Amino acid sequence: MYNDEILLRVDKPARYVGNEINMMRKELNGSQARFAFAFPDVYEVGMSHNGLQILYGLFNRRDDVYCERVFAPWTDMEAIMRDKKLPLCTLETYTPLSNFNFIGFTLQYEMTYTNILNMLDLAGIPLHSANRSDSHPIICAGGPCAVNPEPLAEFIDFFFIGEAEEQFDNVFDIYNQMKGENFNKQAFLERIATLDGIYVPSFYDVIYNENGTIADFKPNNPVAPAKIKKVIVKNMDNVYYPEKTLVPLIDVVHNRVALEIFRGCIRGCRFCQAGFIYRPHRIKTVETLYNQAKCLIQATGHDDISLLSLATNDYPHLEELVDKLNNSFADDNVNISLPSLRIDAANQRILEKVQKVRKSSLTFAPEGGSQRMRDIINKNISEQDIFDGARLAFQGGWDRLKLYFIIGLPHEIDEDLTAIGKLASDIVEIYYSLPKENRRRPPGITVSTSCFIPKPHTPFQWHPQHNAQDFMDKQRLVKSNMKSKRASYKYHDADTSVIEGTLSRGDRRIGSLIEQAWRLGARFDSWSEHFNWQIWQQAFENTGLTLDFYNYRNRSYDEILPWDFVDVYVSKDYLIKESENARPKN
Amino acid sequence: MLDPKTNYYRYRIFYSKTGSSRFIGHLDLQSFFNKAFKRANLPVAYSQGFNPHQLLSIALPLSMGMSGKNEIAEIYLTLEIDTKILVEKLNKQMPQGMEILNAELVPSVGKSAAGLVNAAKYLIRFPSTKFDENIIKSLETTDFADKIIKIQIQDDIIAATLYAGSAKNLKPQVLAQYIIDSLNLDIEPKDIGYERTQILI
Repeated sequence: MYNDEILLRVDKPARYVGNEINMMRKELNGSQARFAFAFPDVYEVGMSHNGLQILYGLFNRRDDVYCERVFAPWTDMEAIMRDKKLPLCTLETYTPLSNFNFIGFTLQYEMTYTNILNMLDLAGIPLHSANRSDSHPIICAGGPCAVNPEPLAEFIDFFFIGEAEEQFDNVFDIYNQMKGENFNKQAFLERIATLDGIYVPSFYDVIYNENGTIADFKPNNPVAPAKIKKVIVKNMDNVYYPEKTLVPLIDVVHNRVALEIFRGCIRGCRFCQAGFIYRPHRIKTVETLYNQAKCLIQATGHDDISLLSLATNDYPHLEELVDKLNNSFADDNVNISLPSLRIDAANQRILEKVQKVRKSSLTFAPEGGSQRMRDIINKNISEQDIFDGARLAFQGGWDRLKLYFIIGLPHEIDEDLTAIGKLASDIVEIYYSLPKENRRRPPGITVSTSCFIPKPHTPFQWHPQHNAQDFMDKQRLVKSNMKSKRASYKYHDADTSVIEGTLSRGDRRIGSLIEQAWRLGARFDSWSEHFNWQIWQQAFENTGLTLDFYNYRNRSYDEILPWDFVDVYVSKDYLIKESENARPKN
Repeated sequence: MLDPKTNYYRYRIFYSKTGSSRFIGHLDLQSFFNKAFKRANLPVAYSQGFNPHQLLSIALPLSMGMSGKNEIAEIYLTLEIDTKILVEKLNKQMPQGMEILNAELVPSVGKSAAGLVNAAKYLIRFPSTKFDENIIKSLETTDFADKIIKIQIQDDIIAATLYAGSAKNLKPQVLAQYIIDSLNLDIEPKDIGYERTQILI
């Protein structure tokens, strides 16, 4: 453990001491493959992530693997570590990262990329794969952002694309066969490169056209496949799920039993990357979920079960599941929460069941303010659906509604933006049209907008992104049309969205931008208190890379995109068709 | 209305909180105990009302980073349970640094331990300092002298029994700061080690 001299000088020292309930303690016998699961954000965020819990259990169920955890140290801790020259260590055994066989970064959002470099640096490990020897840890990465791994290609030895439950045992098996005195990293990477989902960037060359676009992307090693196929779990009922999960000793963002009710999404919202990359839609049965809940409640002592998925409404046995969980656990004072549930006539009863008393706010995500825009993005929800949902919510006793929209979507016109305020006002009107006994207090409608970021593997991947000034103009337009006193408006920072746009659709050259920004001091870029636009601007200048090229230009359908070699089981032809379908008809 | 607590069994639990468990703050400690009781399958009693919570109370919050050698919490159970078994079951749910030392059944009505706290004993360790008796003398003239019950020195450690009730109380940090200032010690307050050895009720 770090000593008191350090721990008593940082905010929330529990971030750095581990010792949580269900933490894995293994005797180190020299024969385990040691894997550091690295979450490039602060402890409270990382510990709320269900993927960490799954992989931690999955890897540690093997006797020949010891998976430990490490999070990005907050800036106060980083300052002390650099001052005292302390290496970054794992929570389980306080082992410096450089002593591990593997360091695996999870890529949940692009704005953590500078933290990845920072963590490698704090571990004293060379940032670039090319500068690391056989005795350095193997640096790998996976998670949703790995569907475009190229911006991190220089730093990562191999990426894993898809769902680890189906493939990672093979990686460990191969490693454990090959490890030892004469371990040869190159030979190991060549062995695993033949597995589905494994991408070894150094086995591929990229050739660029004079205009900066990609002329060719091809393997330079005979074992490397031309396309990397995403790995998916076929049967969600048979797949590994932890029987116990880590329970932090301090408050974190989500402290609960998470039940993953399905993967994938049956909707086809054209802006939504998750909707495409997690396909196909695969559900767990009520029986499986009930057994997992029972096990996890006992092992954790949590008093909240949260049903996780991309759209709770689409779980076909939702009421049966909620009833079963309620009947079994309500007496033990366990709550069930349904994030991302859209209220409609079919599930109003379900909501009543789970939120008998505390009526927290309800969330609606129309995404587009006008029907025209909702058609463009293929959000299959009508204005009437929204109004009906709001009415049901008000009648049910909820008087705080949150409405989510995206601004700067393809084909957007001003009317799509002014429609947002109108929609909010209409919803307030609906509230006041209810009989007086239904109205306890004035309603509160919170409208939030985020800035559209075109993402790889979506029908909008070819579209230009707006610049920060455009986004701010759009925010002003939304705000000036927010007429109801009962509606408030919050918006997402435009500058951050622009950088996220660059990193999302970046190619290999964007690695130097990330490195520059990190060298100039960028850390925790997803935290508004830390994001620094000037740093990124300077990084663009220093590297000669431009927003014009990465964000603002129209890509043509026949351009080779940096992520084209990743096969997420959604064909380019289909995406082109969907992109065309999105065009307004008039 | 009859207090429903009369139907429940109140247990006073004595525990130590040391090592890395020192970094669990007071609010987090409540939620930690809530979960530990659930994992231990104890018949915990809940409050009535819209938002039921476990009938748990922790006496005298311990500052972040401080060790507690003999802390006190109280929990109501709906069934009577052998205190030995209670201690055993709870200890299976403790992380390193937390240990349940003892438990006793106390009358289910009447003030909670939190309300009964009168004083607390501390060991305050100043790094590389040697005190003499003069420091004790000088404390007698301070405006918080009446809040000190007993004080002793032993090399670099000050052993103090301080009032800790609602009417009269003194934080050990206040005492330590006074000593730093009056002796002009070159010590950062954060480098002082605190250990609470007992809560007196």
